[in-house]
Amino acid sequence: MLFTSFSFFIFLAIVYVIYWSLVKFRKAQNILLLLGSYFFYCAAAMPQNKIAKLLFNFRFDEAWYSFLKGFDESKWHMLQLLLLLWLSSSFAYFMGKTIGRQKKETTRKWLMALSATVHLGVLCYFKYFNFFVQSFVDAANTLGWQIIFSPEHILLPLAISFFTFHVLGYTFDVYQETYEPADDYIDFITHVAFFPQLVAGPIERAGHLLPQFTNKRTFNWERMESGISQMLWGFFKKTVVADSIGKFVTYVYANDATSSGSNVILATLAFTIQVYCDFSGYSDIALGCARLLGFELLKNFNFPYFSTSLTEFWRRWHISLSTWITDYLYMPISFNKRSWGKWGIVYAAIISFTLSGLWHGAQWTAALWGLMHGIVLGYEVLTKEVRKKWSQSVPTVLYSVCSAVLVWLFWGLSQLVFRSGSITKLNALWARICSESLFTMPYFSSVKDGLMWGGLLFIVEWIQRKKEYGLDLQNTNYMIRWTAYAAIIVIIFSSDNLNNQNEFLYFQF
Amino acid sequence: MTQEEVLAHVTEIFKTVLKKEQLSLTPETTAVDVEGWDSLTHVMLIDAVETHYKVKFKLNEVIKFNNVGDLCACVIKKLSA
Repeated sequence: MLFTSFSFFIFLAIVYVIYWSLVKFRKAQNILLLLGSYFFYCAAAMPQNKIAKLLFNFRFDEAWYSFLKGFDESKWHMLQLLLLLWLSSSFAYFMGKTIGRQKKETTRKWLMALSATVHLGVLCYFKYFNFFVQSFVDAANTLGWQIIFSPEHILLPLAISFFTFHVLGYTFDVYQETYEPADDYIDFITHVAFFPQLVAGPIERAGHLLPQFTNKRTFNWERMESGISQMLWGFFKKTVVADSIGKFVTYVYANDATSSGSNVILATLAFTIQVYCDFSGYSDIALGCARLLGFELLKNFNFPYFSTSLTEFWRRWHISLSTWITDYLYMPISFNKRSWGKWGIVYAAIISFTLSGLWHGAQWTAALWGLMHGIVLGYEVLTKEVRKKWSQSVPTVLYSVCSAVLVWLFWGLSQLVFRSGSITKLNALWARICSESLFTMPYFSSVKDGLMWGGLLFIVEWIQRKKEYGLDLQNTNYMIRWTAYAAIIVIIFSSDNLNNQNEFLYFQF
Repeated sequence: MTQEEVLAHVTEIFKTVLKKEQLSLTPETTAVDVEGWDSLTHVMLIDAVETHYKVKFKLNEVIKFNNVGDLCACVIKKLSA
């Protein structure tokens, strides 16, 4: 069940009506959200037609027969996924309580290490086991040892990277005494599973989200409008821009042997727009959806393509992940190496970003992508003073525009590495770029619609850059506001992509 | 050593590390209030304060600093220990 599917609207409408009818019963609202979130999690992993059947053609006799017949493999898999989510959040709750009760620093440290080992161990098993063993086997075979390895059939549980970081952050906060252990078990596991943020973030912090579950929520029309308009903006980004561009990008990257160099360049630059509209679109829908239920999630994007340095870019792109990495990875490393001065910061940035790359995918290209970012961030730390002098010697607008374009081109280059998915494919794509085919005319017509809407989106976002999101028109004239909403709805429903359920790119992480 | 004295020293250290001659700090000042005080320069500031006072902070202490006042209070606590 994708955010852009019809089933999701039915699900959201049912939850919404029951949720606000229980406004006087906070506990009941939370239990509803827990059950709804677990249903959403299972449905997100279920084929689209099965959810539609469940929502529209539910028959008790069929369901009972199915229950008696027992579980088939896919149902078992779904139950296992749900069990993993429940165990992960329950374990974090009990470890938080245990760490919070302990006064002895050594015991607290051991408990924290145990908790981190369990959470990261589970993540590593599901996400990285085959990758690391295969890499070891490849290295050994290169050295002349003959090792045969058949990869294990391990299905990556949906959202495991997101909820593992969520609960790990909570455990670290409790250990560092920056957050009190959660009291209420139901509130805690609900805040981890809360469906708007479960599948692809934002990676929430207990200190931000959990108090919202323990406090009473009140219905507010302005917040409802704000939630719906942010969701609309997300749907526009995803269905109108990202999905229009996605087909061309997928085609070019799938045909790396025959695609021309110019098409590889065009597809890579188009991918930078696709990945932004896809992921920030998802985040907009998540934030808007949560606001409909009276919650505020962490802001995940702040118009990143207007950044004039990579350091600034990472303060605006996937903010919930970059602040997580900063607090729990970069800070401890840089603090440990603080006697190295600026080089300690460079070292911490390189290590943190390489690991952040691996968080995105169990591939060497993902690690290389992270390493590239770490190195450039290190360069920016070392040249901060020089660049400041440069910026003072040329007009501010010129410097800002050139810097933003450079950041975007570097981002594009790194996305070529990331999107390729393997070193072999990266080499093949690079060979196409370095061939004579670079000077042929690329297929602009294949992406013209996506690029046109993308261009319009960036103009709107530039105008709205001081606001929370592109369609944040709450303080604008009534007529302009509702005309804009109506126009966006018409554009979304006129889009060919609405009928094609394209998965969000960040689901794979 | 009083908080005012530590604050005066810490202000000088911040001026040097952040290269901002006009900087003025109060106990309530946070990173948001000072341009250039970010996650990249934070550890450099901590290191400079440690070197000046010949003290060592723990990561758990540094994480709990909410403002300049917390930093000064921790320095005073370390010096009087």
